[in-house]
Amino acid sequence: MTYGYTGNILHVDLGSKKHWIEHPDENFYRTYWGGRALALYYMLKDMKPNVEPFSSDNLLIFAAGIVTGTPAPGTPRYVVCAKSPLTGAEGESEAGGYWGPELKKAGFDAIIINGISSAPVYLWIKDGKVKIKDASHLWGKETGIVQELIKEELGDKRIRIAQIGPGGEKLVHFANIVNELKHYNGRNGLGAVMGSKKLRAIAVRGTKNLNIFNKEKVKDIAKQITKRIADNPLSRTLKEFGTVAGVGPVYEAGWLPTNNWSSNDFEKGENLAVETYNKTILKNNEGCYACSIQCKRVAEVNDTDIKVDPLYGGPEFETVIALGSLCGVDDLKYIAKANELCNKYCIDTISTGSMIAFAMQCYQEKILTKKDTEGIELTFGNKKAMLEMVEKIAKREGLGAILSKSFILAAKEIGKGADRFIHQVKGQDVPMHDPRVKVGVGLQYAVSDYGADHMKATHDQFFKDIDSPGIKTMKGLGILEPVSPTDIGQNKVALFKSLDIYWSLLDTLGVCDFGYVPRSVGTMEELLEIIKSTTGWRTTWFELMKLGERSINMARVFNIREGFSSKDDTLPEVFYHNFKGGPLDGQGAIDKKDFQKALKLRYELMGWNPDTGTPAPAKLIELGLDWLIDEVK
Amino acid sequence: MIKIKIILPYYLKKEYLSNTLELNYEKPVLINQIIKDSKVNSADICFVKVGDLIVKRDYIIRNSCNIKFIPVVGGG
Repeated sequence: MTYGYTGNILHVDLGSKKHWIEHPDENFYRTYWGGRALALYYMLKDMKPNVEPFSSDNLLIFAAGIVTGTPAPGTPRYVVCAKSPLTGAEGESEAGGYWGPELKKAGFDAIIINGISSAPVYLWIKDGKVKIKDASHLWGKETGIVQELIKEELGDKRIRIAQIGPGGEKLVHFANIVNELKHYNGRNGLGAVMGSKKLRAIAVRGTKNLNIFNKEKVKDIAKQITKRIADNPLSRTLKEFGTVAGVGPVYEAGWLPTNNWSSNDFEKGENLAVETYNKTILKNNEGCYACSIQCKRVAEVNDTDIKVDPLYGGPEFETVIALGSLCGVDDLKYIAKANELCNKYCIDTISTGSMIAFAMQCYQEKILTKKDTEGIELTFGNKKAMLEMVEKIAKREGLGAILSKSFILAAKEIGKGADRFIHQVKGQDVPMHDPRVKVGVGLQYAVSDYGADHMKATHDQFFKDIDSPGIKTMKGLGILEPVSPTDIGQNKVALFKSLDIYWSLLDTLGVCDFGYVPRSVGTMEELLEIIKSTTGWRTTWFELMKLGERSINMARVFNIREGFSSKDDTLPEVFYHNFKGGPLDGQGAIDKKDFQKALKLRYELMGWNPDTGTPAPAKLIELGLDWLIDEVK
Repeated sequence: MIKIKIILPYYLKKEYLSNTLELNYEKPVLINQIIKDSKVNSADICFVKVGDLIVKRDYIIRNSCNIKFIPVVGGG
């Protein structure tokens, strides 16, 4: 009997239409557990170096975590990994929702997909049985329609579906995968990898319960956490306002990314704040499996000139800014419409907004002309032009064909110095959190295996005061002293080394950071008890942190194998300059030398070569990864 | 007399059940002291805005004014 995991890993070869099930032993699970560590194990073991992201040799891996699907709040997550077409590096993205728990109930911990199907297909997995079904009739259709058609075809409303949209079919380099129409494996273009395999969807349904070692104990902890969620200010804010609560404060503080990061002075920032959101577009809030936080927003607009379908959720913090002030747009109804379009086509809202903002700046600088845009007046603030460009990118039409590629390729193709206006790390555009006010986040952007990502660790502000949640709740990891958000000294570097490992652990286990410390109310002790009671393993934080560190090192080795090095751990140039305009005008520039020094120290703390950022063989041995030593020689 | 009106925007007003607080001082005062006297948890405040400027905790207020406490923004 296994607890927490099913012991079944499904392999699917779409080329030959064959599938088989692997049953790794307990030690395998105790080493790689699930999530990103398990996915990286197969990427390193079964994928040849330097495969083309859209080739049949690229593996597309879906992996749930060991606590995914337990009754504990904040445990719905699963990862999708592949070599990313956006970055050429390790591609990875976690999503919540309902699909991960259902996959485990259907009898599998992970699905490893290789090959390319000759015609569109979808996978149908029910209670351990697997079918590869024709999807020709689904190809080209929006996600909402496909969701309905599959559920109708299989005759079960309780099926959970992860799918790509037309954007993934057309290989938009930042296409997403979505489950239940609202929960995204975003960034990194993993939807395009799925599209390249002609795999439109994976439908799962399980009628068995997950084996949990001590279910009563897990239920009891879940009850306690759920009770506290209602009283805690952090989780209550997430419930009442969602992540959009942050937009107003960012505007007030003067770091709202504006006009493709060229300014921080967005006059109409209040129009994007949560108060306006709640008055104008909010329909209701929703959430994930077994979680009472319900942080997700659902938007609806029914004006005569513009309508937004609530089926596709609503814009969150990142989307409001990326499709808002970053493009100079201050109309939430249009932002919600752009969000709906991105979600119907299943392309990433941050990258789409960033790409349109980039094109707008090229237009402003006369690098792009009306001829290039086919008559569209692509100026900052032109909300109708923004919507037109979303359509063009998703369909790869006209200028959209260029803008649907990675940022580096798009800038190269446009030429004329356009690369000055892309703001990326390892080819992925920076999200909407400015490292000048949270330098630890900047460090994470730089070292992230999958390019700039705001979900690579918690943020500096949670560790700034003696009373801050991170200081109060994470002493068990040796986090005792506060550090200023703008500090870039040794204490900050050491703090973010620990946070990176902790975060990597959450992504390996299938845990949402909105459910546990420092962002929310589940404590470290409760999380440990949930893991122990789920698996029956008498694990410790020592073993768990090693697991988080193992995942980081595996991703690092994968990238080294693909040609990445410390030279790729960078920050966009804009963050080495002061804020322009607004309350922080003339302040904030990160010192480049200090940042380089911080990166070197980070490598040393990780047991990596301080110059190249390559893991030392001894570190790999310590983590049980001696089988990877040849990869770093 | 230096009259200071503290504005609690966004979700701070929900947490502290008030839109504004008022404090009076006889002589110039540090932002840090104002935070302490306001009984708003320092950990809840990310930035302090005086007029149109973001100021540090050691900034001294010499005249009557409005101050805005800007809350912490998490990830997501």
